[in-house]
Amino acid sequence: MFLKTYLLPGIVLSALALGLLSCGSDPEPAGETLEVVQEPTEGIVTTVEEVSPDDWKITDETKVATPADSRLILHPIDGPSDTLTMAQLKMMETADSTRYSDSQRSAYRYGSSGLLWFMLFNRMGGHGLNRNAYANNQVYNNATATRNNLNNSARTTTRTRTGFGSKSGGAARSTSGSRSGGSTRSFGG
Amino acid sequence: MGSTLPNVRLVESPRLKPRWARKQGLDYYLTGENEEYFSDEILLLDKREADELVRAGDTAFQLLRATAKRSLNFAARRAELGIPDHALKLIEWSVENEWDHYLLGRWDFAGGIDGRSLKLIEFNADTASLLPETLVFQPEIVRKAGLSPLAGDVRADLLRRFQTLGGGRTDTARVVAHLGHPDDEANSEQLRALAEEAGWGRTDVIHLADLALNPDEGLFREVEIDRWIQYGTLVKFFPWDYALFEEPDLFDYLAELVMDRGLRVLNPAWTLLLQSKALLAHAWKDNPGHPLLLPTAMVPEDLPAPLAGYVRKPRFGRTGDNVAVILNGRDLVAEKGGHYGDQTMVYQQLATYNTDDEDYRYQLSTYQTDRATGVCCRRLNEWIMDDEAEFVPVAVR
Repeated sequence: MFLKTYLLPGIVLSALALGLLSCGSDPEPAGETLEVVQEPTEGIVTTVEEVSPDDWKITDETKVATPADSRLILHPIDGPSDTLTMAQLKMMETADSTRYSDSQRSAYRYGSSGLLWFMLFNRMGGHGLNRNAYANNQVYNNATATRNNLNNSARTTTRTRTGFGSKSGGAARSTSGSRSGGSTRSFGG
Repeated sequence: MGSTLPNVRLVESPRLKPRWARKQGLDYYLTGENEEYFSDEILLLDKREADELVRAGDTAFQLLRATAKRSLNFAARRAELGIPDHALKLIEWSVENEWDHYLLGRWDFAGGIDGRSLKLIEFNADTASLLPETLVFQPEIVRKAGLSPLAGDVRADLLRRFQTLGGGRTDTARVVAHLGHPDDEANSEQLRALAEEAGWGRTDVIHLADLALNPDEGLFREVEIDRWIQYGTLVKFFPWDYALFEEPDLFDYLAELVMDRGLRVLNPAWTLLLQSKALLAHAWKDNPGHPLLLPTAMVPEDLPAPLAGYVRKPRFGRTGDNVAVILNGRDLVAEKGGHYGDQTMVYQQLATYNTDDEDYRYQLSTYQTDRATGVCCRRLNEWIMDDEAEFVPVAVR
């Protein structure tokens, strides 16, 4: 799965507070701390089944081409099966969620706790998969494997480099050393 | 060898207590191998001499910038400067878009005292050091000696420059990046303090190795697992030529980001032209006989009087490394080792310094932002001014 790396500016981070991001101890002011996240570029179709009243389990999660293609397919105990699109799913977190039935909202709560969460919030970090959300081990293990694939491929797409200058003087972070020598070169002129 | 300074030029300097320096976070400069770094004397300059030095800086800046623009247009000159073709795009972009964004450099001159002509030795165009000494130690030493500093406030001038340049994007922080040497870190800290006082907002001092550079996204530092701070302005305490020749990925990444306007880097990339000592050879060629310039050439036989003595310097050298002094066209009277021995060399006529009765040679310096400002001085009783030189506080006579 090809992933893009992008950044959320501080103001968006605060809007996404949702309990998803831990408040760091680093005292940078709001608006200046950015989080590098990995954005999924494929989607997920999640199927949930109501196994008992108001209790849903994820029975299948299948990758699809784009996040916009993501769906939640619900099989209620009573009533016809239903499919919610990505646009509809995103409304579930807003005041507009009242336009949806109890059944749909309940299915959303359980179904979005799996891989669909990453598509809904457009990021690959900040959420762990809960075994209890899944109907059985096989579905859960498949979900874990898919998530690992996403993370692995994301790492290989980045051009980030660190460590520039670490060979410029041996103990590059040493605080010892004189003006005229020592283990680290001075670059002052 | 030079005009000997009369004793009225030098007065005894008070010693600062290490405890005072520790309070400033600068005990590095008074302890260990640096115990003898500050000279035991203060140099007294006339106001006129200080003014002339600062004027010389301004003149030299105009002159070298004009030469740099001219040299950039000629492949042969670019080759002499040591500018590879792949750096050209960034440099040309920088000249086009950042010509007025210069932050800080420092001129080193011979002469300037008691009527001896000022002669430009070199321009520390990209990582000008001596900031803690000039901004913190010198004023305190002069005050303690009961003397008056030279007119003008170099710190205020630097602050004004930071204010004019501004802190850049407000959705990101700023960073001064260095490569770990304590002197570099201390200079970086002076820049940081100026930046914050100038209203730049949060400005960190960070070792370059701790920064993450992504040419598509920007410059970052990971402050916690998966939490990053982005920097929109990088003040480098490493020169552009270091990136170009020793960390080519760093150069390429910075180039992409700068030209995409994802990162502002100070000093701007065109500073690379002024870092090359070969530019002094071009400046001499374009301005033969200019009173501030020493004859300089790419080969000694192109000097007007090579037998009178010349200094051989690496094109992108620093701190006197790999410099050699040759007299009579063949007598190597001094030579230093270093990291730059493989570089193309540039040849500069031997300068005449003011000296004292112990044969110390006095090198006056002034800082350069968009204007020259401030005076500081180092001295050494050897041919080649290097890190063993003493810092000599300067006061008004």
